[in-house]
Amino acid sequence: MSPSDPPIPESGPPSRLRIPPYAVTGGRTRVDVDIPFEALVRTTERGREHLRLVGFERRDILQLAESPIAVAEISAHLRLPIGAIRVLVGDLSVEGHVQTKAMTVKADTALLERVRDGLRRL
Amino acid sequence: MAFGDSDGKVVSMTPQDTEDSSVPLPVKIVVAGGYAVGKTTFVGSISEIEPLTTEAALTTVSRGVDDEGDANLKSSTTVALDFGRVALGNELVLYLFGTPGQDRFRFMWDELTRGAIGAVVLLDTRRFEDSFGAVEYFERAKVPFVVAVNAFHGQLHHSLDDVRDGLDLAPDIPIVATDARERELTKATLLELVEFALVRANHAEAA
Repeated sequence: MSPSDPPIPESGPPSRLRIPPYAVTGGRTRVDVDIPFEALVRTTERGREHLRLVGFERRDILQLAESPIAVAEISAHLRLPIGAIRVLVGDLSVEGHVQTKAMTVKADTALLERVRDGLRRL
Repeated sequence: MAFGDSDGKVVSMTPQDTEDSSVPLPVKIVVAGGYAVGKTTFVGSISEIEPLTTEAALTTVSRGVDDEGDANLKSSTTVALDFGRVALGNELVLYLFGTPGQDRFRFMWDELTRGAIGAVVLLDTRRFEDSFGAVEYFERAKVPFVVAVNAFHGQLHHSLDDVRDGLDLAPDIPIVATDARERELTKATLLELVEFALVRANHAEAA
């Protein structure tokens, strides 16, 4: 999908934005790598340096991601659909302004054991 | 643009690929169930934050999010996902995502189960049918899952055996009674799932 394609129609409850949420991303709703909803995002040094040079929504993301924060949490805090956040984070990531971290394959036994032990300790 | 670490399991999408150990690894469990079955209560009982809501607007043509920008897109639908988070030590953080269990929300499940440890199907025995879709999907997709019967006010309306029969559940799928309001029971349910995922992973690694 190219930036000139029309944004996806919204059928959800109204957002705080005066413009359709997908307009924020210029109508793009996909990136090369689909970032999982739980992916943790963190602003890089470069992102911090460029804070004043990026647009409003991107700046909001860079500020939220001063500490690691999930894509879904950014979506909830900014009240923007997760698809839009995913595109913005994808762009910021490609630009080197944020770093993201997530599982992309099935958990192996070593990781599952760590999760189990972590749960037991709760 | 994906860079794996040495065992290829973690992806960092920065060009520099400075995998930062100070960022914990997020892991995910999906909580599927019908309307008002107690998904958000279940998530909230163990989450260290008040459950948050994110809104996913995706196509109804059920081809997954990869196609959300497809030119053939006819309509889109919105689903609100409640989720919570709990840190498991310093290196792992568990996210719990609630999703509707009815078949028409199938388009969310490909997305949500990608990279997930597995799923909890939360069931109200008075509304079995709300979870048929999710059970069938997870079985077919080989996503490890457990069925957790939410006993409202400590009462089960059917025995767990009846539930197993009613869902036509494979014999190895664990089924437990829980109370979504009780943190310890939620924790026990999640542990049941992780243990089951471990059994599956052991089999796969031995094969």
